[in-house]
Amino acid sequence: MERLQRYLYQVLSVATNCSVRTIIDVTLAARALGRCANHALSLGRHLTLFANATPAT
Amino acid sequence: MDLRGQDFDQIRAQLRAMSSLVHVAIGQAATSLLELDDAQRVASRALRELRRELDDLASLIVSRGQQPGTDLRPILAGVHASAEVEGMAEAARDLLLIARSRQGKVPLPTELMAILRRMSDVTLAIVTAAQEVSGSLEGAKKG
Repeated sequence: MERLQRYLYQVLSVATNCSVRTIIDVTLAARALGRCANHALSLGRHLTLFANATPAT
Repeated sequence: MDLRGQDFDQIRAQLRAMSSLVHVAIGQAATSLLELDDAQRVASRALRELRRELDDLASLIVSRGQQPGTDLRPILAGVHASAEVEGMAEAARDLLLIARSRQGKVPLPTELMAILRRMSDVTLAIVTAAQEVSGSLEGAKKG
């Protein structure tokens, strides 16, 4: 799996004319943002539950 | 267990503060792919502190004792929401580390930056929507 990943980084590096390091950084940044978005969606669900279940003040 | 209105108000206020802080953290972490800012670290510290306070408050409410029929869902939802915010803060920290490791290196290509920027905009929009959902439901209850 790791070898495949390294190979894909190299392919992308050649295709985009960027260094492998840049491709890795962009991939990691995109993953972090994706994780963030998933947490944000879950946060929305939990906040909705919280708001629906709490008494009016 | 007597779940008091002020308990919920406190949890609600802390969740809102945490959401706002993480909104700042994500925005700044994404921006810091271009430049780094101390405000990120300040937001991160404040977030940890709020999370600790929220956990303590939830424990206090639960430890008061339980009466039959008491609805613990809001407490659990609050704790879960808090954990999600922490997960987002962690992702923002990861972004910061990438940004830091790239300092002094060749900037990311414009096309790739544009995609990352759009992703961060979408993420921020989801956080804002989550905050608004919470706010609007609260407003509907009051109204």
